[in-house]
Amino acid sequence: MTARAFRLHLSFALLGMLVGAGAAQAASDTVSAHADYSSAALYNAANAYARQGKSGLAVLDFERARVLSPNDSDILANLAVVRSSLGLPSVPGSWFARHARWANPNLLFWLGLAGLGLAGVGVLAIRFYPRQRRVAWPAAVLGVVLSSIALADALAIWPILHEAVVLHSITAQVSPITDGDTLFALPEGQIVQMTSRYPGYALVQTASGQTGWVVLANLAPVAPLG
Amino acid sequence: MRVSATRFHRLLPGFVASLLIGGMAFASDPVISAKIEPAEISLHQSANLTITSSGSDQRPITPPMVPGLDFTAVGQSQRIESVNGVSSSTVSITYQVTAQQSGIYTIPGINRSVQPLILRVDPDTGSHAATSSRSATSAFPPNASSSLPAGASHIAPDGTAFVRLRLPKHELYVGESIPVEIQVGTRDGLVASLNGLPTLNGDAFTLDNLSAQPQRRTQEIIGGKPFTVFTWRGVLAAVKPGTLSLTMETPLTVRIHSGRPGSDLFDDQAFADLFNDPAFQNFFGGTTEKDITVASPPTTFAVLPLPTQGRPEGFTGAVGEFQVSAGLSDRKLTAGDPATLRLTVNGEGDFARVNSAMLGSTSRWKAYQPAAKFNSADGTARRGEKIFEQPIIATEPGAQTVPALSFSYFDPQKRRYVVAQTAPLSVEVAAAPATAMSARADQVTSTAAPSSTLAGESHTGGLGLRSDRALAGIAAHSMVPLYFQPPYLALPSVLILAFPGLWFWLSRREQAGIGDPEARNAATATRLLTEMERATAAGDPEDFFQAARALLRRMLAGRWQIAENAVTLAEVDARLGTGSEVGTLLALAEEALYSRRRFARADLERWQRIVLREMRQENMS
Repeated sequence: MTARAFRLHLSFALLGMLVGAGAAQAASDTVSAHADYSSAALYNAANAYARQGKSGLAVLDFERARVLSPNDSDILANLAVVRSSLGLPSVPGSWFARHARWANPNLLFWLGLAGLGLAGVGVLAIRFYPRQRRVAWPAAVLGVVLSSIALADALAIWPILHEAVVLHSITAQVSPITDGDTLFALPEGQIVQMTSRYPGYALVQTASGQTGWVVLANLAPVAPLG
Repeated sequence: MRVSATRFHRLLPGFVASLLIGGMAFASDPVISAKIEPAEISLHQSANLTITSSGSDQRPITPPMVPGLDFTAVGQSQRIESVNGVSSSTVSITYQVTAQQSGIYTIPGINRSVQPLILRVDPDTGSHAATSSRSATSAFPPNASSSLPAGASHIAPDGTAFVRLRLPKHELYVGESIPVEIQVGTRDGLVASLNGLPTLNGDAFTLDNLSAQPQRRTQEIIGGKPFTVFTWRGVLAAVKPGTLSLTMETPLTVRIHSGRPGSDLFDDQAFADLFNDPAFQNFFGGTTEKDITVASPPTTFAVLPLPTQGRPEGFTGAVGEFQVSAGLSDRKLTAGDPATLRLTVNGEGDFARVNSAMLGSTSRWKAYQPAAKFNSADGTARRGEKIFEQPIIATEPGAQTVPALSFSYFDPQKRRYVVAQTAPLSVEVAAAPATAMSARADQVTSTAAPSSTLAGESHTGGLGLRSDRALAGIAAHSMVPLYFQPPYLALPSVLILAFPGLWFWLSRREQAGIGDPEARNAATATRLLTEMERATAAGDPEDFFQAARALLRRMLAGRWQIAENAVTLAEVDARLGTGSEVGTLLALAEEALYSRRRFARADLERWQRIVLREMRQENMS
């Protein structure tokens, strides 16, 4: 392969990846009217719930909206207002989670995929087309950076798969039975991690490390499956 | 049972002896009672088992053997009474009972006059004071007869237990849920403990809402033998059509007779029954515990598929009998203010499949995502009501109507689909104050903005919330990010696997001399340099000069844009002048090849430096 052909192929590969990522995102936007979740709709619904005094549902929809638009200032502000009215800390999450999640995770997924492709093509070019190193090195570095951003986002967002919002103030129990002994109170809007399930019950863990069983119907997962 | 005469004569003495011993035992049976307090403990707490024996003929009291329970004697008292010259004594022994793991334990009766005791042990949590004071009966509601027809009771071959199902019918549709009672009968005194809940054996059915504890405990006499029957209630549903069967099974620990004398005397069923009798075993001891699983006989169902004909649009899989009604939180609204639209679906069926899209947004109503909650009317969540609540906002003032809501389901009794509809709701919508509408329409900054919010952003409501926005923004079909959705997870995996494959393929091409000419030239040059270095180290002038000449000819051919075989000594002299170092090296190469002239290693090293210098100059240019 000549240098000119190589550059042509590399350009097409890069263009294809970027166009693919953009097209996927564009497709996502175009189907927004038919999509099951939309950050704006969730935000509006959360506002409506908050006005009706249904703070648990409001927190749930704000959290869901925050998954799709993690840096949306309106969502963060209103979530903080509702959480504050419930006596909860403003916005939960570790330093890593707050900084790694800076864009829509699905967009970052496509960018990460393009980055993975770039990094792979770049490394192959460095090894097998040494004359093209001036192009291949930046491509590989850019690819690694994009992949790392997506990987960090995936790691930061991983806990939401097990997160649930307490819809009504409840108490956690010792055991998953109807008249189980109570352990501690869970306020409405609290976010917990579901670590195990039993028919009708879930074993939850709070941010402070307390664990107990609660009636499953009082919880709503932030990221419902399906 | 058939016993030959000879065998009967052999068995007779043993039988008579057994009767005598048994008769003596029953004749002198003291009055024994037992109680356990509390009947419900946590894992690392203990209960007290008190066994009291009274009468004129006292025998030593031994603690029962229950797998998983430890009995430690902690106290003994004795009272002797003499009435009209007849003395009797009462002995009480208290055992501290601790459990090795949580569960429901059956402590067998000390003799046939004593009922088995139940000890419930909950998982340890560190705070169980309240539970400790409960009685054992709280776990078992009062006996209640079942409305379901009784199933067959196939007792296990060892006679210790059985599992049976009580079902209302054996023909059902896919997705239809039917109530089921699972009954586990345990032979009093022979079953030490139930080791788990009944489980479904078969992948064509689901069993839901099974209670953690038995709903009922009753006594039954089956075949003349007493059984304690534990009943659980649940909901059974089929997931695929066909003629399907299922069984239920339960793990148990049973106490079986051990150490039978080595005679075929006990092979006979009549004697096996005698020696398996709990009273006989308790008297003679010699029992061991064994974990077994008891299964119900297979129950066959005809599972029908849901018909495709007449399936309404929006059918979400609900099967059962339902009624629907709708309501609105307020019939007098102000444009822009939220109200709650409520759809109530009540009836009987699998409510997990009951779903409704509720109202879609229209030009007159802005509708939001509904939420649902379920109120069960029975313990199995098969009957009850599911309430869907949806925030809606009227956008125009005047007399408005909330459209009728519909809900479709399949009625297995009528064997057809049903679309239930609510009545439209009339609402009077007042015009909103101009400022409020303006605020919503233009999203201007509210004067009631809290100090923590940023300037230039709009707010609504007394809570200090920022206002709603147009329905756009980032959308997704699932809240689970693409990273964690298996189809998308495959994409990076494919890439990660593809690149090593490409690496391998390109390596093979390179080795075969196919591919990039520049890379091929570089590989050849590297090989010749290596060969030159090796020949220098070995003091081999022939190989050294051959490698050096090949390198120089390739280099000069590239520089002068001529064929490699056109780079002759004459051409070099003509282009570089006679006596150049390169020309001299080419001449020496020919000489080394044909004259076998010997060179010192230092000479070879000097020529190697010259070749490398030429190559560096070529690369720099």
